[in-house]
This record gives sequence, structure tokens and C-alpha cells, in this order.
Amino acid sequence: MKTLDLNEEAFLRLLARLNADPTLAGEEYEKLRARLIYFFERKGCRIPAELCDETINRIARKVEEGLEIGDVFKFSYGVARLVLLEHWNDPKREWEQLDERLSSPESDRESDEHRLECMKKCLQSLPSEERDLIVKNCILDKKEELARSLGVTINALRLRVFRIRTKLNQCREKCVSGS
Amino acid sequence: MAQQTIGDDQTIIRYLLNELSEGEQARFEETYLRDESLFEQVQALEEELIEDYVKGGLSGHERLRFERHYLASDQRRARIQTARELLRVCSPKSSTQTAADDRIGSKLFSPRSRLRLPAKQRLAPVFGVAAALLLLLGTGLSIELLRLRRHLATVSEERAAIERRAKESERRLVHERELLAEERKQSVALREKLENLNSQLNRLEQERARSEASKNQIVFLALTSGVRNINNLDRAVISAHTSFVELRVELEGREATTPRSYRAIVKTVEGDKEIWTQEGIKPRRRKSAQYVVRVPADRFKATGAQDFTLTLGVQTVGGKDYEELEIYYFQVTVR
Repeated sequence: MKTLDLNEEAFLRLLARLNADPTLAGEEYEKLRARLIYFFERKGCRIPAELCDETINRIARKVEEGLEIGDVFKFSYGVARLVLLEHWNDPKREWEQLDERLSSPESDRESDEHRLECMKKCLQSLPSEERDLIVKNCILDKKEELARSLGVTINALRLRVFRIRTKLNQCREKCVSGS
Repeated sequence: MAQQTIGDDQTIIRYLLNELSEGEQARFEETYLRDESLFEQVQALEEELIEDYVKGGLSGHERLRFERHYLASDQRRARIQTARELLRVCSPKSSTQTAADDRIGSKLFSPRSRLRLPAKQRLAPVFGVAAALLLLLGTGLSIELLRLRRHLATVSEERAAIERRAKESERRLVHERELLAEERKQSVALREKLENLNSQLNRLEQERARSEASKNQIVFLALTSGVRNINNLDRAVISAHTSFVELRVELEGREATTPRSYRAIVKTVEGDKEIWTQEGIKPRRRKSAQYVVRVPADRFKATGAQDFTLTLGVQTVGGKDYEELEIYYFQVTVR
């Protein structure tokens, strides 16, 4: 699959298309990227970030060519599907990455312990209210009880827990990678 | 799937467990790419699904579908591992019983109390209290031992299940490698087929050029399944004289021999705008695998676009709906 390079001007035009305010444009760009990576992950692709970048490059190229795109997010879906189909039909697609991953070492007890320690440390670093919520959510089987005790709907509880866990996982990743 | 049900939990779970049809999946994905709150909802439900799996809270059917879908990907296996770690870290520890015993024991056996009373009088109540304490301690320890044994049994079962799945994954990897070797051998045959297709395309290109030269009103374009390089898509060139663009598709395998009715929908890539729909399409000749869709050229000219898709759907058994079969990407340029 041929990768199209993205120059700075094309990238800035894409950001401007996402939002006239540069700060908000950056946020919109991150949101687009996150959703596209999720889309490719859901399709079982082993290189979702690279495919996401390819999709964004092509959209930026279209913007640069002067194509009027109303809704960039909606447009991105069509381009993402095309990129996905090309990826599936590319004979070299994953086999190189697959070979690389197969040769990488298995996780050992030491790295398991390290990950667990990072999880504990990050959990402790959360504000107490958030930590309590995460722990209760882990221990209790029925979410309804917890939601009722907090006076919120199950969906609201789910989203709250998800946002805290996202923060927790980001902290854990940084700790595990040593940064 | 109606628009209002796209965001409900059941639909999201069905999507996560890969139970939606292709058409439903496409609509759902397009929606969450546009809708921030739906996207967050999907991610939150996915986290919850992983958590339920790790806790053993999924039904048999859900667990099977989950394992088939989630254990096949490195990223998803990593997320399951993270969920397990969090569960381990959140598990309660028992430390209160030991501390309470220490406090009671220190009061009874302090040196001051020993000095005040005669030996026999001191010993009797002490023995009684000690016996009661021992009994309590014993009961507490037994309960704790039972709990730990149950926990150990669960952990052992989980470990055995993980080991089985790891072995299964290894077998699958070996199998995939064998398939890869086989595919590489077959690539030679595919290259020959590709050359044949290219020569067919060249013949059709010449036909089209002839039709343009004689101001023929119909432009023909043969579409092939599978997507080519973006720089080498199927292309048709139309002029002011062109009245129709005839799109030809050749189906393979079982679809080629089973007589059914088809629907074609032509849309723009940008904006996903539908410009032409045709139902009840049958093969050109009996027992043929070639299907033809004739689209008025004005429809392409009116869009101002160049990139289009043709979605071919096959009529379902009930005859009321169409199931998406194949999508073809092509370009139409106005000269």
C-alpha cells in the first residue's frame, strides 16, 4: 500500500477545516485520530496507528486539492474503508509485522510484577473519591447497587468509571514504559 | 437498525461481539466516527464487557463470542491483562483479625497482672479466656482458609483456562504461518490471473475508446472486486455526448451459479450521496455471472465528483431486503 506524505501546509489546511480556532482544531484532530485508530483496531488490524495516519494523509491531500468537504468525520469513514480494503488486499500487509511480533520475547514474572506495582502506584495516586469508585466498581458484582448509592444512572456511572480508568491506564502505561 | 436504536446498549454490545450484519456495522461505525458521545459510550461499554469477562460474569454464548473476537488481537489481549491487574489490585486483604488478637493477648499476659494474684487463681480464668480466644481464632482461621482455598481454586482454573487459550493461540499462529507459505505459493497463479484481467481491461478500454471516437452514447466500464492501488482505480471518461455509463461486474464462486436478484446502489465517495439505485438485476444471460447496471451519465455529471462506489446487494431469502455483497470503487471523469 502506497503511503502518501503529508506536508505542513496540507496539515494546517486540514486543521483549519476541522475548526477555525487553532486550539480547538488540535483537539478535533486528536478526536478524529482516536476514533480512526479504534475503527482499525476493531477490524483486527495490527498497525492501526499507521492506517489511521494514511487515512488522515489522504483526507488532507483532498483538502489541499481544493475538494469541499462538509463533514470531515463523515468523509473520513469512506476513506478509512478504502484504506482498510487496500490493506487487506496488500500481500505484504501483516506478515512482516507478524514475524516481528512472534520473535519478541514472552513476558516474564519480573515484568508482570512491575506492571502490577505500577497499577497499584497509579491507583494510589488517584484522588480518594475516584479511587473509592474504581475499587467499589471492581469488587461489586451489580452495578445497579453502586449507581443507586451514588444517585446516578448506570450509564452515568459507566462513563464516570471509564474516564477514571482511562486516566489510570495512561498513568500505568507511563510507569511501565519508565517515562 | 433505526437511527434511534444505534446508541442503545444492546446494539453496542452486539457490535462489540461482532453480531451485527455488515450493513448495520457500516452504519454504526459511520455514526460513532461522527458522534463523540456515542464513541465514548462504545468505549465505556467495551471496558465493562472486558471487566465482566475477567470477573467471569458473561453468559456462555457471550464468553465464546468474546474470546473468539478478543483473544485474536494483541491490543485486546493487553487490555484484558490490564483489567486483570486492576482486579488483583482492588481485591480486599484480611489483616484485622490478627491485630485484634494481638491487642487482647497483650492485656492478659502483662507482667503487672501476674504479680497481683496467687498462681492458681490467676491461671483458671486465664485458661478459660485463652481457650475461648483459641476457639475464636481457630474459627476465624478456618473461615479464612476456606476462602483462600476457594480463591486458589478459582485462580488455578483461570490459569488453566489462560494456558489452554495460549496453546490455542500458538496453534493458530503455526497454522497461519502454514497458510502464509501456501499463499505465497499461490501468488504465482494469482499474478497470471491478474495479467489476464489486465488484458481484458485493455480490450474494454479499446472498446470504450472506439465508442468515444464514434460518439457512441454508452460508455462501458468493467469493475473488478478487491480494491486496487488508489492511483490505478477503474476509470471511465464521459463526454457531453454520453447518455449512459454501463457498469459491468463479474461475480465469482457460488454467487456466479446461484440465480438470485440483485440491487445496485451508486454513491459518491465524498459525502456518501446516493445517485442511482437499481433493483431486480438479473444476469445478462442464463447461467452467466455477469451483471450490468446502466446509469444515466447526467447523474455523474450533476455531482461534480470523480470518485464513486457501487454497492452490490443480493436479495435475502424472504425477498424483502438486500444483503450487502460487494463494494466496487471507480472513477468517472467528464471531458
